[in-house]
Amino acid sequence: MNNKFLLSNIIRFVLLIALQVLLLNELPLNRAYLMIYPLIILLLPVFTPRLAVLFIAFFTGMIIDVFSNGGGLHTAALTAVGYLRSYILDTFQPRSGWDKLDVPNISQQGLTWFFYYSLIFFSIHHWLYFFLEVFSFTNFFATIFKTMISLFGSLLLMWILTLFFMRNSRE
Amino acid sequence: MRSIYYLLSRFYVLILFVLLEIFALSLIFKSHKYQEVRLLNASNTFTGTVLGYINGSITFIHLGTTNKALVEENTLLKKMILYQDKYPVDTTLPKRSALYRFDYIPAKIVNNTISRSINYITLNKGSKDGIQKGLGVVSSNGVVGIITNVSENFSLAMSVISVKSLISVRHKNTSALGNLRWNGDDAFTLQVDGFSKTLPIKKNDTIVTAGFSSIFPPDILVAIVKNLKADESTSFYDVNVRLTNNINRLSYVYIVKNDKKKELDSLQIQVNNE
Repeated sequence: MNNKFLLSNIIRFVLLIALQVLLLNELPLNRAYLMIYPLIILLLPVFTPRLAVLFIAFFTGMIIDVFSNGGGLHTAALTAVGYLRSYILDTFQPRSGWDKLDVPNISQQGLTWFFYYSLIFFSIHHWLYFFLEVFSFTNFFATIFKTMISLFGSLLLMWILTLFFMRNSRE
Repeated sequence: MRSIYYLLSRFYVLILFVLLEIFALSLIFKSHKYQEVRLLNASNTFTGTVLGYINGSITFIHLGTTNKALVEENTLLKKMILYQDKYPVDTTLPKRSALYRFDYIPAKIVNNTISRSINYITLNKGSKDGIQKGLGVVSSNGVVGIITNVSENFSLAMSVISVKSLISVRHKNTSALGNLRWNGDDAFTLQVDGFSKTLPIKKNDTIVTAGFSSIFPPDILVAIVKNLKADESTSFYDVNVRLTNNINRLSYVYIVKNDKKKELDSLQIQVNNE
């Protein structure tokens, strides 16, 4: 079971980074910048040690930064959500508490749960990213507009992807 | 001692988080200063090579447009040669090229973005080819950006579509000076400030480089006036312009090298110090 967890997480890690770097970074969109890679941290098993989550987030951010001229932006934003993940999971925990093998995905936790969880997760990440990027409140509304469009786009893409790869829980 | 150990064991994740975040933020602060070294960038050999492979396929898609641009440029250059034969240049006057010695180095775009607030373009020429920080980048029909980072084989240029970018420009008909900036909103609309309301500036007027700095040669095409509005609180126009080149679709650019840049810059520093 453990090996299966590890393998699927590694495959997801590689595929999502490839998708981000090869496709999403190259999209000639005018106002939006779609980011899918927070999904790597979002979908880690619930009982991944907090220290491990923090380090995975940090290094994933570094990799994305190197490939997209981020200059530390992706690292800062992803490390922050990596740290906050355990608190988000605590607030969103089921009534009976988390089980040892739980994974915060659609097939285990259901559509509505995943909707709110990913919304909070991606929102924190995107707001941090875009406000660190300009690092000022000049053109405040332009930045807000950009963040909202990008957030909406990223979430939509992410939900489509996760629904597409959703495993039937009855299996 | 025990209490320190207790604190560490309890808050080690938080402490580590703060350390990592300070590290990441220091990288951002460094890269936020104009023309400052970015530590995590795509100008190193490994990422440059990987991005180069990816870009190969994108270049292929734009092959038609690139070809067209090259043909147009060729025609223009041929016309210029013809013109020179018919009307020999007056040799008693100092030629402009004697004042500004510019050398053009062709480069291929390896990676290019337009959707960030500060956009960078990775080019496949580096310090090996004589590229330095602060050189200008132009395409066959417009200004592209300024080099901010150089590695051995690659260099990174900050695109004019960046909130930190600032280029001095001139209104072609009236020779009025202004600054080209971007407000971070629409990547196809840039802003020019500094044009006085008394000037006869109209829609579709041409904006060219001022040529005062040692970065760009004078009279290079930059943008076309898209719309303008008289700012009621100041004596200037709010001018929106559209770039003449489509930075998004470029494949090949020229890096402009000024032989006399060092001399000019040192002279200007001398004047400023006096």
